[in-house]
Amino acid sequence: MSDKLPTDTSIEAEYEDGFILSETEHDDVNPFNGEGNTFTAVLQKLPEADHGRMIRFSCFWKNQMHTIDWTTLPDNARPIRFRHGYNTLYEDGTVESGFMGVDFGVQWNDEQGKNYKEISELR
Amino acid sequence: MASTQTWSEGNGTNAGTETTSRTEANWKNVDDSTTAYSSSPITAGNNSFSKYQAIKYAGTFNSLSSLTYKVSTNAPGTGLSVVAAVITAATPATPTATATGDSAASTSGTSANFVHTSTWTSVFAAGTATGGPNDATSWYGQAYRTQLQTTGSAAPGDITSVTITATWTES
Repeated sequence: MSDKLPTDTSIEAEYEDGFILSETEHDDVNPFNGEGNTFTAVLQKLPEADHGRMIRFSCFWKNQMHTIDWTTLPDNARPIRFRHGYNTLYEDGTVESGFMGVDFGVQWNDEQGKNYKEISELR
Repeated sequence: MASTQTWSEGNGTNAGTETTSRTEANWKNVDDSTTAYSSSPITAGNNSFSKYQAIKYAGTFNSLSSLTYKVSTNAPGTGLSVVAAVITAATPATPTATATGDSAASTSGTSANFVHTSTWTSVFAAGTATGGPNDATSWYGQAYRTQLQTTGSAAPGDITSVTITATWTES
């Protein structure tokens, strides 16, 4: 577990053996192969070879942890995390940037191929 | 970390020379990234030189999408208007004070694509609606051309602040 407070919009994933992959702890770097960011590692299921199936997927926003129990979902379930960024440039060069919110959830297909998606729009 | 962003500006022939990490963004009566706006003021009845800017991404991200550019106001005062366009031409016009012919700059957001390149001149391209993940090659937003246009009724002195904002979605 990281000793840093989770940053807004960051994610955390927990696996069967208790391993927790924290975006904040890794400064959003993919600790497995360096590609993309920490969320890339979750999407590509990179921790699962050593730590078993993901059992929890969480996202942090405004000091709240939002969690999906992954044990109730089919194997093809895919995590969703879209953060909505902005960057404003003033004429004197001052810049303001950050995230206005984050969409967090899951999508999966049933046996007939029908797609299901559940998203929370955190603002 | 997530993504980090800076703004680049293109000057010179076909706006083909990049100045990265701009720390000043005034419209002025010259095409460069160094002259103070107070040294090259726009006189009433004339236009600023057109300005080409693009957001440039670094940091870490899995994907980029839904990029828009917008201004805080396109009518910052009497006799003043701001026009803008996302540039899709591979060879854009060299910045001048001639009216660009662009429409009023959007205050709600004009869509733009992403361009994956290490070469600034390639920013003037069609691009793709989504980008990422981050790698050793930069991801830019397409270039955004703006111009401050004035009539003879424009008052002398500094105008009301006008900001440019990029918005996007990243995973």
